[in-house]
Parts: sequence; C-alpha cells; structure tokens
Amino acid sequence: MQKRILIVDDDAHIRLLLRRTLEELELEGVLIDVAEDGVEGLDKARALKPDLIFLDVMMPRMNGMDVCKHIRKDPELVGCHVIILTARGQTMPPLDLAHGPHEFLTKPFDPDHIIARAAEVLAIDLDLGF
Amino acid sequence: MELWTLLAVGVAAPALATFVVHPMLVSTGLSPEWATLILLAVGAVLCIGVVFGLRARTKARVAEAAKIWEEMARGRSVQELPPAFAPLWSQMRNMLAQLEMAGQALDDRQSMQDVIDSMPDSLLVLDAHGRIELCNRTFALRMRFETPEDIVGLGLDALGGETRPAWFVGLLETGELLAQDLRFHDAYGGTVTLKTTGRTRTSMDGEPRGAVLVARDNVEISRLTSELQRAAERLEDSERFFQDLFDAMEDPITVISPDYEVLQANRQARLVFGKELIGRRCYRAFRMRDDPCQDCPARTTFAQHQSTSVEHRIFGNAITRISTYPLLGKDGQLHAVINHKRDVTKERQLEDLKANFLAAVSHELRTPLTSLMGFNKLNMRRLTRYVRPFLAEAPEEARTSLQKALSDMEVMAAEGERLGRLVNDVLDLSKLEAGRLRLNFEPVDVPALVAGALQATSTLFQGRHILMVPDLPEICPEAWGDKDRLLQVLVNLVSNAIKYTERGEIRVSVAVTPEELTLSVRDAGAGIPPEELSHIFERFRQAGEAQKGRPSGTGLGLPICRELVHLHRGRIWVESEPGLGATFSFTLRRADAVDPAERSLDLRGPGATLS
Repeated sequence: MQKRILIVDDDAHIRLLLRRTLEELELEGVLIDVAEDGVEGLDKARALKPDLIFLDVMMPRMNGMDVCKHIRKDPELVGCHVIILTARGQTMPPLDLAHGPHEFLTKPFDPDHIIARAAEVLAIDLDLGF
Repeated sequence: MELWTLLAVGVAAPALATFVVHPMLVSTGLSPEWATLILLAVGAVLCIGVVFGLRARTKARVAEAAKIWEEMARGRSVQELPPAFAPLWSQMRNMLAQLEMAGQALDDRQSMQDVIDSMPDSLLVLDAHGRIELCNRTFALRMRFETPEDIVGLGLDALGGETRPAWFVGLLETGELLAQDLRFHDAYGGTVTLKTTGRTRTSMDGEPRGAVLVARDNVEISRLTSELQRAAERLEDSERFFQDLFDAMEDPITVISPDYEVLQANRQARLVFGKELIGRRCYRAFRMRDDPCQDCPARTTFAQHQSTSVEHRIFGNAITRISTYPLLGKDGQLHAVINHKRDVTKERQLEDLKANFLAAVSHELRTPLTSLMGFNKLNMRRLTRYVRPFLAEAPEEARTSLQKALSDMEVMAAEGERLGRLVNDVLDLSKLEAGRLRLNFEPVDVPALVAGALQATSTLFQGRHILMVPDLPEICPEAWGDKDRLLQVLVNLVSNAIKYTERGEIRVSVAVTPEELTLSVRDAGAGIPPEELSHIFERFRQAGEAQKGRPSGTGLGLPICRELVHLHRGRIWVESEPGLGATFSFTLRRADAVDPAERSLDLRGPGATLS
C-alpha cells in the first residue's frame, strides 16, 4: 500500500521546505500532502489517513496540539504517527504516547534529521548518503 | 593666816624637838645621836606631809579660780565680781561679741559674694544715695571692670549718668522698677543697655535704704531670643519639609508600632486607607482583617531588624509590594517600622507582556530561521550529492566555484545556528530575570553530568589539539539541582574553554566539601585581562577575540550561567591570569546537605511568593 505523509503548517516556506526535504521519499513513491491550518489538517488527515503527520503548533483556526488530540482519539487513525514541530520556548506538555503526539521536533530543525526520521517511521530503506 | 600658822609651826616644831623632846629621849637612855636622828626623821616626814598638803590645797584653789573665771567669761557671775569691774567687764564682753560677729559677717559676706558672683545676671545693690554697696562679678565684667571691688563704693555718676538719675528717684518713690532699659557707660566709655528690675530696701522703720537691682543684658537677651526663634523656625521648616516630602510620596507610607498600630501616615496613605488611619491596627486598616497577616513584613522586620518586602495580591489582579524598613530610635532600639506600599501591578503586567512578547518574537524569528537554515542545508546536500559527482570532468573553475559555494553555505549554516542560539539565550535570560524559570530540583549524579557535558561538546574539540581531562573524586556525592539546567551551565563553560584554547589541556574537576560541590573548568587559553574579569558575567561581554575561524558566542552564555547557578543558590566565579588560562568555578549544594524544609521550598519553586 502506498505510504502517505501529511504536512500541516501555516507557513508556506516551512511547508515547501518539508516537501523538498522529503523529496527523496517522494521518489520512492511516498505521497505527500499539505494543509495550511489546523482545521484543514484534521479534515485531510481524516480523509487521507496518512501514515505520518508533521504538525505545527501555532496555527489559525485550530492549533497543532488540538489537531493531534482529535487524531489520537480517532479509531480510524490509529496507525498514524504524529510528529509535532515546536519552537523552543513554547511550553509543551510532557510526552504522553497514549494520547499526545509520538514525538516533538524542535525548530529550527535539521532536514537530514527529518528525512531520517520519516524513512524510519515509514520503514523505508533509503540511501541518504550520510 | 595659814601662812602664819605654817611659819609658827615651822619655828616652834624644831625648837620643841631640840629643847624638849630631845632631852626627854636622851633621859630615857637613848644616845643623843640616835635621838637627833629620830627627831630629824620625824621632822622630815612632817615636812613632806606639809608640802603635799599645801600642794593639794593650792591645786583646789586654782581650780576654783578657773571655775570662777569661766563663769565670769560666760557673764553669769559678773555680780560676783567687785562692782567696780562690772562696766569694764561688760564692755569687754561686747567687744568680744562684736569681733566674733565681724568675723562671721566677713565669712557670710564672702559666701554671699560667691553666690551672687555665680549668677548669670547682673546684681547691683545701691544705698540711699545711689552709691554702689555691692555688685556681682557679672555686672563688674559687663562694665568692663576687673573685679566687683573696683566698682563697690562708686556712685551712679561713675557709670555714666547723674548721681541720682530719674529712674533711681522713681524707684525710691514707688519702691519698684520693672524691666526698664537702663543705659550705663562701662569702664571704657562704651554704652551698655541693661533690662533692669529693682526693688527698694527699707530699714526697720520703713525708710528706704537703697535698692537692689537685677539686670539682664539686652544684647544677650535679644541674641538668645532670636537664636531661639531661629532654631524654632528651622525646626518648623525642617518639620514642614519632611512632612511635605512624606506627603509628596506617591506611594502610601506609614509608620507601624510593634503592636501593629499605625503611628503616622502620609497623605497618600490617608487618601487610600481613610483619614482615620492613624491609631488603627494596620491589618484592620489595610486589609480589613481581624488578626495580623501571616506573612506580615513588619513582623519580620521587628524580629530580624532588617528591611524586607512581600507582594500581596489584594483586589482582583492588583499586586502590591509592601516593603518595611526598621526605624531606630536614638537609643539604637527598634521602636517602629516604616511601611511602604507600591502598586506593582503594571510592572508585573509589563513583565508578563515582555515575556509573552519575547516568546512570540522568538517564535516568529524561528520560523524564517528554520526556512533559511533548512533550505541552506538542503542546497548543500543537493550540491554535494547530485552536482559534485558530475563535475569531476568539468573545468577547474566550475569545481572551485562549487567548493567555494559549499564552504560559504557552511558559514551560513554556522551563523544560522548562532542566531538560533542567540534567540534561545535571549529567551532563557529573560525568563530567568523575570523569575519565571522553574527548576526541577532532584539529586544529580555529577560524574554523569560531566560526562554529558563532554559528550555534548565533543564535536567542538574533534580534530583539535585539545586534551579533555575530567578530574573527579573517587566517591562523588550527588548535587541538589536541575539536571538539564546544570548540564546547560557546564556545557556553556566547557564550550567557552574550547573556544578560547588553541591547544593544550582542558580540565573539568569536582571538589567536595561537607556542604558543597565545586565544579571547575580550567582552560589553557590566553587568560582574561584583569580589567575584564569583573565584567565577564555581564551581558554581551566577551573577553578578547575568540580563536580565529571559530564562530563566536552570543555573549549571553555567562550571564545565563550566573543566573542559573544563583537559582541553585550556588556561587560562580572566575580566576585568571593573562597567559595562564582561566578557571571558571561554581558551587552546588550537596543533596545530602539540603534539609527537608529547603527541599520542599525548592520544589515549590519561584513564584510562590505571591499570595
């Protein structure tokens, strides 16, 4: 089955950066979708059932933590791995694997790290050259 | 008569003995020599008896005479004297009495003079003719004479007036002189005005015998009066000044007694807490409570003799800071405290605003920074991975250009990282300074902390001539602190050490005392110039230039370290000599030396002071 990644961020350049970062996975056949705010993110998550979601925290309409809560509660999205992209200095709740995101990544993030994590989560063996 | 008897006996007795007794004795058969001897002996005994008898009589007579003399001297038995002696005797006695009185009077006069000389006012006694009978030293000196004796006997005219000036005549007539200004001339002709009060002296039969005057120097009086007045004015001025100052304060200020009574209040305090504030209990007046507040700062000040301050959230969100200061009396005792209230609501709101603003700004900065750094890194990856391999055959120029581009991108990446650190540091420091950072206190394994710091900085000293030497005690007790924050401090110090060391040894050591642990990081750099040592913990102060080609720091690392160490109630300091490197040290409390009360306080964390 085709793997899917959903990127939810209100900043166009961050969306582009994540897309470009994940280009090599796209070449491997992974589908990449984007959403521009929390509500659209949640709708797309429910519609597309991605395997991995990158979620920004501060977004219009619904923030990332709330989107994450809805996703984790949704029985149809059990297999969905949620990575929250947070800026340092934002107070985050302690990691709660049962109800919260699976992991936090701090901005500014290292693209190498992002693609390595994504490949791992999607169980895709990728020669990244490092 | 007795004399004659004595003479008769003196002549008759030897004759009787020679012519009657001696022949009688011889006739009894005694030898004439023995008889003479016996008679002589009897005669001698008699003579001695007479002499003693006479002596006793004489003594008695003398005593009697002395007694009579004594009684006569007392004047009791003048009548026993022959009548012709009586007048002479009484005259003599009067003379003796007068002499005695004169002596007494002389003594009295001297002591009276002493008394009147000690008066600060002038005293003058005049006879009926206006001659000076007596005066005190004050008057004499005021008139510029040397002693009172120099004036006594002079007339009033000698003091620059008539013999009987009008005031003197008036005084004799009315018997009184009331605080009149009299002008005299002193011994050198200078004018002296004395405010004089006087009374006449009268003899037994009511005739005026003169006058007694007491005078006070006008100049002196007016000087004293004006001085007093000035002093009073100054006092009033200063009182008004302080009252004005007190009232001008925009904050309510009160003075509180040990039993919580409001003793004084400035205008603002009366405006805020009511006009009848003074005399009320502070807890009642200020907070409408029936008992003193639990965290009463005045009580702390009374107990510890130190100023202190607390913050109360009183109405809604209003926050008042109450500071108390000891008010010491002249005896050095603490009699009251000054209570100063300030509304710090705005300051706290501003702090909140600042913190929120900084959080927002740092987020807004981080987003574009993420793009910049991310795309830069992606480009480097693309160039390295997908372009460079195809340039092996390309002209030299193209390859060099690519190499230059990649190296420039590395600079961009490094600077991006630095900017990211700066944003983090600014955020950290502002949190620290606002007291918003909560430490998660727990026992911390120090060797693990050191290992963690060396691990975190390992990329910095790779490929350099730097030897990292951990110097740990065999048994190292746990420290009491926040593991992550302590790691931040140690990483900061170690990366600083690396930054300033070209080659050599960096030693990270731990020393243990019964109370504390001291962690030190010693570098082998150029050292810190003495003039920079005292500023080294200030913001944006970096000693000298960092090693060439290394990105320099944010200038906030050491201030953050200092704040963090202080939050751990430790000390941080630096020792350095130019050319010999620098040693940064900080202390931490041992987990086993922190008592439970402190632990619970630490765990409650800062911010708990707001009630």
